[in-house]
Amino acid sequence: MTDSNYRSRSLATSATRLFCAVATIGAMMVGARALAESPSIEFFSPVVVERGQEVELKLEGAGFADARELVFYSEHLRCTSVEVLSEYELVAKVVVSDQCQLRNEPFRLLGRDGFSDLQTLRVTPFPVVLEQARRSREEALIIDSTNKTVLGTLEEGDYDRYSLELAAGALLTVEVEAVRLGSELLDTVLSITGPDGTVLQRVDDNPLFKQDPVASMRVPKAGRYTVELHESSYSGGSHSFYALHIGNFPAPRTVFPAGGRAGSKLLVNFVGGEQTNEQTLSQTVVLPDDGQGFQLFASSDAGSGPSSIPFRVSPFPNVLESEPNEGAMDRQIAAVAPIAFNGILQNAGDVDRFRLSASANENLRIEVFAQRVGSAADTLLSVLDETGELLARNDDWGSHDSRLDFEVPWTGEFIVEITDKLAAGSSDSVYRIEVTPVQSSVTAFLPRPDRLSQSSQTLAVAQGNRSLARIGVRRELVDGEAQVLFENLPSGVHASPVFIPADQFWGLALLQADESSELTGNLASVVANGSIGETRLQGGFEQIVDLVAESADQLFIGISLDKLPVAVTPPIPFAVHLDPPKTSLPASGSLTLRVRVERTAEFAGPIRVELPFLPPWVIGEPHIVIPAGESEGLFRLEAREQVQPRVWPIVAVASVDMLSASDDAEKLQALKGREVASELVELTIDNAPAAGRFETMAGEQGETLQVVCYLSASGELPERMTATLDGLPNRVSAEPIEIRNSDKQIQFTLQLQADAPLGVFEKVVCRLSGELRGWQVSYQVAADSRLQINAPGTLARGEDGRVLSRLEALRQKQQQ
Amino acid sequence: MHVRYPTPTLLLCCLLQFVSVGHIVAIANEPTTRSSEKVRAEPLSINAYPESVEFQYPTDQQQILLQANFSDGSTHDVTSHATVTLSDPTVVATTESGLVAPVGKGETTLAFAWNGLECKVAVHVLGTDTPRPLRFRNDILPVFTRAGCNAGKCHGSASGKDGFRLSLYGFDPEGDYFRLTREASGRRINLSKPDDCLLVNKAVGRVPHTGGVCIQPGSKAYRKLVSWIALGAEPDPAATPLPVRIDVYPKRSVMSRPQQSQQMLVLAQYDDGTQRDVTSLSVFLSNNDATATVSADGQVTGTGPGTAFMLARFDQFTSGTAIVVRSGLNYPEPEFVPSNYIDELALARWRDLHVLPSELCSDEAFVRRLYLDTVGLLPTLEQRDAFVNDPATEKREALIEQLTNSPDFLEMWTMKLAEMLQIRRANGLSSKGLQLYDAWLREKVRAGMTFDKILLELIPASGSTFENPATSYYQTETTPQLLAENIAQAFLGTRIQCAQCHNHPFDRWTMDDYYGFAAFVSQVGYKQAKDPREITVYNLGTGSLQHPVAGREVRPKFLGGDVPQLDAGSDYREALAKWLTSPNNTAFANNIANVLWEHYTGKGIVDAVDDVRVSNPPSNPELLNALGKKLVEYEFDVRRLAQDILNSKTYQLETQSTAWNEWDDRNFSHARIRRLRAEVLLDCINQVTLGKDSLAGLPLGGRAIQVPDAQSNNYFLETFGRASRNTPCSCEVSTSPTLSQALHLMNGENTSGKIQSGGWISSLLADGREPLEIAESIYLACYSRKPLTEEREQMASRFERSEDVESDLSDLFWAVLNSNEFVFNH
Repeated sequence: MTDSNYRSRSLATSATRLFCAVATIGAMMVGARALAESPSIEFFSPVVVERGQEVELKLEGAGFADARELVFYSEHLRCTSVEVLSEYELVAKVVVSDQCQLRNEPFRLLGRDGFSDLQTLRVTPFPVVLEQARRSREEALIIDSTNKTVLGTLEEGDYDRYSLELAAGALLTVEVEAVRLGSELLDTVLSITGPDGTVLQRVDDNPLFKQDPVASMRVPKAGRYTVELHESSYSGGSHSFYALHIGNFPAPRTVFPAGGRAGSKLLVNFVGGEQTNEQTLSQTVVLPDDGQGFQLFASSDAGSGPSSIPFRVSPFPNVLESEPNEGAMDRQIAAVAPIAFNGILQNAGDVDRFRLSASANENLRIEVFAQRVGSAADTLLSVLDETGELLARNDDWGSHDSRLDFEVPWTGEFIVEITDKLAAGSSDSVYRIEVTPVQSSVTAFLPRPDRLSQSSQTLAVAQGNRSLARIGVRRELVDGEAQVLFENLPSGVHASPVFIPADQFWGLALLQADESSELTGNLASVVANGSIGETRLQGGFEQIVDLVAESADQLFIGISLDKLPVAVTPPIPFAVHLDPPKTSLPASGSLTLRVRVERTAEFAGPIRVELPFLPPWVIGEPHIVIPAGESEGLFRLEAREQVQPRVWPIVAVASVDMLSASDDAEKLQALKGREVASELVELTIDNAPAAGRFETMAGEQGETLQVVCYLSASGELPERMTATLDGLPNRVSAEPIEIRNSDKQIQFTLQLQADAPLGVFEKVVCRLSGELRGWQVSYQVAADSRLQINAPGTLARGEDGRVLSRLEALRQKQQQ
Repeated sequence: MHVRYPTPTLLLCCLLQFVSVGHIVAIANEPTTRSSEKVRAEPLSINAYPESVEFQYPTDQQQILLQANFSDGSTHDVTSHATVTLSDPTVVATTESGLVAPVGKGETTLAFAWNGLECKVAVHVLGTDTPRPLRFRNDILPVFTRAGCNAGKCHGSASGKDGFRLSLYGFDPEGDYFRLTREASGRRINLSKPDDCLLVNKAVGRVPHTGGVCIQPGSKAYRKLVSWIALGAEPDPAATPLPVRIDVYPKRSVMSRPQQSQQMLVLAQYDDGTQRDVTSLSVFLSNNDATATVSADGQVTGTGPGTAFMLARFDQFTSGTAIVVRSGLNYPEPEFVPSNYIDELALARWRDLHVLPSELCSDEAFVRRLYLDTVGLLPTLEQRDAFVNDPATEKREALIEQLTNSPDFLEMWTMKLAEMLQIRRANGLSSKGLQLYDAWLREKVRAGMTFDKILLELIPASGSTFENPATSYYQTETTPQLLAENIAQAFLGTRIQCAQCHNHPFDRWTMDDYYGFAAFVSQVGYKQAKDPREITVYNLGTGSLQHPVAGREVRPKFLGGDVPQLDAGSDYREALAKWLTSPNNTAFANNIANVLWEHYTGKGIVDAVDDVRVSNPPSNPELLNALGKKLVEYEFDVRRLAQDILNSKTYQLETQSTAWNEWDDRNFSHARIRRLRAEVLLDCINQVTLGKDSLAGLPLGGRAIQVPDAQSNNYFLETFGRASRNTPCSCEVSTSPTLSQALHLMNGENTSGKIQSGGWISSLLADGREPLEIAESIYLACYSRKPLTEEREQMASRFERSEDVESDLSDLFWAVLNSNEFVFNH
């Protein structure tokens, strides 16, 4: 075995114990239901709930028959009951605590076969009013002016109107949530019309809420005002929900500064909203010691709005800009990292500069938060030396915000400069530049097979069986092996740590459920460990779930989750085992692996087995089917010559083969799509144990040739082997030769038939096959050897009978 | 939905009705003499071309043209009929055909006399005895052009022909010289055997040549080519004078009848100030063989009444002469009293052509035509009655004033502009981006912004496509070349596409012009914006275009204008926008005026409106220039220019032609019958049936002329030829009838379905209206006229024995919607 970064941590589960568990479930197969797929939610309503209330959610979708509960990621929302109305409908009661944050709260439906896709439920501080039926499209719904959240739907060609009576000077604020609800790209346009029919405001997009419009104004005179909403292209559908927060709450466009030091008391100025004349609403906020979950709201006598303003809470202090700061920097005192520079690109062409003191070789991350905190600025970040010479620059990094990793070239002072890419400026162009040493991190995640899809983002393991998951790690400034641990798994579910070599970003995790484990599901914790030299580093789990997208390049709304949903599902009536190979797989060689399945007495169907994660340059059958009545199957793996010697974990995954299960197809539907995994086994890739070389192979049609392959062994070979010639053209044959591993040459007899094809054939290879420690192995030697076939009488030979090369033949001819 | 089809009886009734619609079918009346016959035209003067001649070399010759001008405006080529007197016969000699050649040195005057009229030409022969040296560009290349060797179908094609490539019409003389003398190891010519080399042998057909015999052995061209090779096929010396323009004479020719002829003369002007008669080196083409043809030597012969343009091409220059051929009939003085400058200029043209205009159209025809043209809808019954029954003498002016000031007038204009700006889904322009782009344009127009001001915002637009939707112009096309082509075509009416790869064969645009113009938009930068569907367009401030032939960086140059001084880093587009929309840029103003004119008359003065070129001159240049000037005077307020056009009698003429104008389809002597464009037709169907469509990007019931996305799925609009806006070409709007259109109207939901869902007939019946009364309403709503007596009788007969009146009325309605009289504006 060669050196390897991989260390086997295979599960210690014994096959016997597992089979016992499998054997007990036969009766559960009786009365199998329709598709055994995890539930999927097509839509639900209401999509917005009021904080501190108990609500009834109606869900529509599929796979609801055995739905158990709605599982929320927040502890402040709790599902108290689920009433299944049909396979496609259910009603769930949810209690929303009065401590619940005002935001989209993610949840999944837990069903018999696992977790559903992710949905989000918006929590609002206002009473929720449902849009009521109108007599005609043109008719406006009359509402009062108190703060409320109206839920509505925009269908094709639709425009919804709301009418309310307001006194002169009253504040009217309307904030729409549509795209942010995370359901579909319902891009709305909002307008406010005065009593005389004049359009007072027409709002589309804005930097803070992106596609969701928000408008706030003090109405000029008393009268009836109309709020109209439509999709920007007048498209929509029956599930195109929106929430219209309407009332007199403050709705600022942005806040300055856009962050502060944790644990400090900070004066912030809200820009816009009620203060439409660019006045500011000042407010002193106390920032928590732990910035996690902090939400900033602008408050007034009418309360605060439904949506928080993005705000950074950081463990370092602020520097606020002091204009003018684009030219001479003498007045500024150089700051030292970690620090946050805060400012506003007020006017067109505004250039803001900050002095920074740093030491040589410091690796600083200079990161702008602008678009991400609702700013109108599209920033361009530069680092200059004291003379103004450019040292580094960045436009965008991941978003339209700039970011630089700046390795400080010398100890001294530097200038951090920020401008707008288009030289624009406004009171909304707030920015915050955080300068911190580049931090190491390691984070676990589930690699996604498809972009913009929620597939394979939850795990399910059958009682008494195993399931396989691919777990990835993102490393930043971390090298070496990473380790991933699972915590808070459902009771009775176990998972060994996953070790991911330094040159890999993912590894295989096996989850095993006890036979006695409860049919339930948990949001499990995942811990990622890494190291920098001797320093250990721990990170968590982050899964980005795409919610609203228009195309592969256009993601509008996603959500970041820190928990991994794991469900225990009913037993599966078979198990699969992959026998650990007793020999290595050599380069240019092959190896036959054996898989075994165990069935319960009640299950006799065909089982499809595949090896989903083979090492690079190793190929094998995509899958095999072990027919009913049989319990074993063979995988023949072949290694290309490019393989690198190494030990790899491999695993077999089994499922019911629906294609060949025609008789029982209906009965087996309950098992469709459900998979079980074998133990992880080690596959060693090795160098080829032997090499070979042919003498020139050339002959004429109708001739019998004797060709010799010279062998040289460098590794372990079976004692007895059969040598065959592969890659021969049609009408050319050679009998296999039995050899011993001590033989140095093999002589084949080639029969060239009279009509054998003429030409040079370059893919002739000698294959050695045998049995090593009970395992069938084979090796290719003398690959890409040439066989030349000539017409009778045309092959030039020397006096010794040797076939001459073309040059030798020409010389011979000349001499003659 | 159940769809009913008309009974055969009613269908027949309707078909009969089509035949009876006389006023939309052009029928030629017998010519009538409206005033006393004019006396025979008298010659007034003769002109000689050129007015003076200077001979540099003793081998040069000069053709003199003599053109007589008659009292009726006609002209005649009298070169071979005039007598010539030489003041000094030792200087030049002349031939009967007007050819003049030097015989000595000095100055003299040629005095020409014809029919008592005289004119003179001064001649100066310079003191040189050496023959004109043969130069590749000035003497040899024209041989290839004239022989057709470098035409697009021969060696001038992009890949050449049979292994030999020349630049198209000689736009790359240096490249052609190289290919002739150096390429293929120089085997094309043989200096030691000039008359027996591959080039010559191919040209004269001595060896197999796909193009056949192009140059006759012994001909002047042959001798010139062989001599040049014999002299060493030298490259042109640096001091070789280069042509800077050509002048074609006579500038204008008016033939009083077909079969008259007129010789053309081409003079090349060189950069050393000299000129040369290059008639024998030029290529001639006629743009209308039905009116006049031209021989290879430039002899024009009238073939029928009308106008034609004779194109002459020499070197990289194209110019020509306008030819008018009158019918030869005795022309009476028109009894047409102009109401404004448009009528005056139209009348002048008619007089020139000996054309008489048709009568003014009826009030019924006028009100329908005006509504369709200005607001894209039919007049309602009330609107139609109010107008027709109005006894006021100036009611037409009043209605024009009213409709051109309505919001729908601007909606129609916005649609035209959206076509010029090509507002459509393309290059990733999202639905929202498109909606915002359309809304931006619509709001600008509604706010009264004129097109020049709109372009001043649009062309230099920077920012994100959502925040400044004008920037979407740079998303619908993204390469400088395409942008430049579109700007030239949409806003200047000029197609410069040819000049991307070679000098324009039928216009004056060279590759220098093309890339110079494209350089204005060569510094447009793109960046992904905040919304995934949005991009940011900005001025890069750096970058340039390279000339594909010379490989040099190209400086921005206005099309047909100067090379402006532009600061490095400045936005070139601002300079472009200012120049483009400048009141001094007649091409822009004329183009917008022409677009407007074409909208109201169905044909551009330059037709097609976006095909302004030397070889496609305006049918009435004076009228076009007057309209352009007025537009500038009106500060590009199209309402006012539209009012001028609509108030002209020229617009208000009948569609019915007469023997005096039946051949005329370019000079507006009668109105054109025009099929309604797709959007207007759909709106009219919805209007009369009370139907509502759910059109993409609009709330339910929106108008088709407001649909933002020209590529949104709509079978009706696509079938009836809506512009896809893939190009700025005016040809994208198709009003040609097709079988699919007929079948769709007959079978589609837009007729039967909307008749039923709209419920107009049933509501009229419910109101107690009589069937004939309802039928009349259908006629009035759709045709703006009452049924003819014959039609009324047939319908009355049908209704008398009707078992289902509503069904029969629906059938009638269906048949009316399917009639030409409904589908056409007339």
